[in-house]
Amino acid sequence: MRRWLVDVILVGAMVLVGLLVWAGQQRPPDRYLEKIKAAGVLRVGLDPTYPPFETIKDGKVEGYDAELARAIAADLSVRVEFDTLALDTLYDALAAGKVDMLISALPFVYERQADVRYSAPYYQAGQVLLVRAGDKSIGSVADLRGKRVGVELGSAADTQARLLARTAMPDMQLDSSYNSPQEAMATLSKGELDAAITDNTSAQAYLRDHPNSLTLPTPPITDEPYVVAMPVQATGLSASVDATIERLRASGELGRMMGLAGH
Amino acid sequence: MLLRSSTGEFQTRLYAFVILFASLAALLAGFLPRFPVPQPPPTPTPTPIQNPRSEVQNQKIGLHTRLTDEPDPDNIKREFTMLRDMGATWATEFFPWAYIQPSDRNHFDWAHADMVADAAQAAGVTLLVRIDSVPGWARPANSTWKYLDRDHYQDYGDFVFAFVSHFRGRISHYIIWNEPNTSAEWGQRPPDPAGYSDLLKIAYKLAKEADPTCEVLLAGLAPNLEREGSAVALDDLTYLNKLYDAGAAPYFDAVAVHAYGLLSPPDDPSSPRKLNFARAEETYKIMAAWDDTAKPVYITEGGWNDSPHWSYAVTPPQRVEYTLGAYRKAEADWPWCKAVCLWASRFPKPQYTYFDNYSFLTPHFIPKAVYLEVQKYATGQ
Repeated sequence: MRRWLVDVILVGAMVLVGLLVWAGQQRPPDRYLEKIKAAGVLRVGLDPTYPPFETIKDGKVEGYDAELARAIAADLSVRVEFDTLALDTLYDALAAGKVDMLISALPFVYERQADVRYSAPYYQAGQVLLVRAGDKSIGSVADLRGKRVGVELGSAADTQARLLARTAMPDMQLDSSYNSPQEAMATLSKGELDAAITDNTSAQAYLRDHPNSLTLPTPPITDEPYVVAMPVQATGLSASVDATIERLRASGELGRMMGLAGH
Repeated sequence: MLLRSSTGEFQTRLYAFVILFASLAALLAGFLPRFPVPQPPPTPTPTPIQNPRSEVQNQKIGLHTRLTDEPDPDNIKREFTMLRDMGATWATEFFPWAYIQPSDRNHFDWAHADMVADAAQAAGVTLLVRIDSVPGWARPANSTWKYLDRDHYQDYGDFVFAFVSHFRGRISHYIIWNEPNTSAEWGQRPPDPAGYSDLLKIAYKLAKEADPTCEVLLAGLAPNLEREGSAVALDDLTYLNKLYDAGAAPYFDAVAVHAYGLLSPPDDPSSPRKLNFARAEETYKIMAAWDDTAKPVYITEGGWNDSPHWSYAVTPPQRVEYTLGAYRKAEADWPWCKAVCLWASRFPKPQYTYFDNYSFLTPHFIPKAVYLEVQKYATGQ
C-alpha cells in the first residue's frame, strides 16, 4: 500500500514538473509586437546623417539600415515609418516609446542591456586588414612583420596599427600619412604598400568599386557589430527581428543589403 | 524505505528519481530569465609610452580631463602621467560642489578631489579647477544641479572658500562656474550676466581670503551666436560685454575661453559672427576695449571632433592637423594666452556617441594618433 502510494506521488510529481517545464518555456505575450501588428506600422528611429547606413535623398530615408527596416516590417506584415532623430536622442526616444526600435548603425553596448534588447549583429563595422588579391605572403596580422602598412592618419585603424607597432609588431613599417582610407587602399593597389588597415565599410566600398584588386585575408581585427535596439521586454519582437536577420543572412540578401563586395 | 526494496523495484525507482531530478533542473533552467550574455570587451594589455618626460617645446599644451567619473586611483594617476608624457603641463578638471558637500553645509568629502589634485601635482600638471553643480540641499526640489538662486550664493562662496583653503599650496587656478551664458548651465533659466557677476564677486572675495595668491578665472562661456531673448543661450561676446557693464572686472584675475574649431582650421580668421577656434581673439578684443588685457586668457575647453557620425566633425587627418595647429598658434601668435586645454583627454567609459571622437586616449588608455602626434611635436621627436 505504501509502495503504491509512493509510486503515485512520484508519477504525479513528474507530471507536475513536466507541466511546469513546459510553462516555463512559454514566452509571455509581447505587448510591443501586438501593438505594432495592431497599428500596422513599425516605427523605426534613426539618425539620417550617416551614409551609407542612413541618409535622406529626395525626402526619403535611404541606406543599408532603411532597407533592413523595410525587410523587418515586411516580415511583420506592417509598413515602416521612420522617425529621424539626433544620434544622442535615439535611446531616449526608444525609452519614451516614441519609436518601436532603433536601426541606426548602433554599436552593441554591453552596459545598455539592462534597458534595451539587442538583435543579433547584422553588420561588422570593425577594422579590417587588406592585401593585394593573390598575395599569399600575408595570411594574418602576425605576417605584418617587416611589411609596409598604410592607414588613414588619425583614424581608428591608425590607433590599432600604432598599437600593433608599439607592441607585437615593432618592425612593421607603418605609414600613417594617408588622408583617407581610399588613398591608403589605392596606394596598396599600386604595389607601394604591402597591406592597409581600414574600417570595413570603407574597405567594402573600395572592393565593390575595384573588384579583384584587394582582398581581406583575415576576419576583422576589431569587433564592432551593429545591432537593432528594442525595449528590453520586447521578446517576441526581438525574436522576429532575429528571424528576419537570419533569413536575410542565409539567403545572401543581408550581404547585398549591407553593400558587401561580391553580393 | 526505497533503498530496502528489491533490486528491480530499487532500480525502477532510482531511474524515476534521476528523471525527476533532471526534470527539476530543466524546470529551473526554464524559469531562469533569458538574456544574451556577451562578455564585456577585454582590457588590452597596458601599452607604456616610451617617450621620456623631456622638456616640452610648447608650455601651453593642455587637455581637459574628465576624472569626475573615474573612481580608480591608479587610473587617475595613469591619466596625468600620460598627459605629462604627451607634453601637457596644464589640465582643466571639473570638481562638482554636489559631490564634495553632498548632504549639508557641515560635511565635506574630499577623498576623490584629493586623489585628482595629488595625481596632477605628482605628474607636474597644473590644474585649472572648475567649480559648479549645486548639491540638493542648496537648491529647490525639481531644479537641475545647475540651478543656484541668490539665496544660496553665499553657500557657493563658502564652498569656494573651503575648497581653496583645503587645496592651498596644491591648486592655484579656480574657474567660477561653467558656461553661465547658456540656460542649461544656468539652471534652465535665461542667462543673467548681472546675476553671474554678483556670484563672481562673492566667490572671488572668499577665494582670495582663503589664498591671496590664487588666480580666479571668469567662467568659460559657450561660444554661440544666439541673440538676446533666446531661450537657449546668449552670444558669448555680448554676455562678456554685459559682465563688464555689470562691474565684474575687479572680480576675476583671468578669463577662461572655450575655443571649439568645429569645421574650421585654427588659422580661420576670427569674427564676432563666426564660431571657430580663433574666436578667442574676439574675447581678447573685448578685454582690450575694457582696458583689461593685463589679465591672461586660458583656453579651458576646445578642439575638434573626428566622428563620421556628426555633422560638425572634421576628418581624422584634419583633427590631427588642426590640433597641432591650435597649439602652435597659441604659442606663436597669442602671448596673452597662457594655456590651451583641449577637450578631452579620456572618458572613463565609452560614450558611444560622437563624443568619443573628442578624446585623445581610449578608455583603456590606448593613445590615439592625435595624442602621439602632439607628443612628437611637444617633445621635439
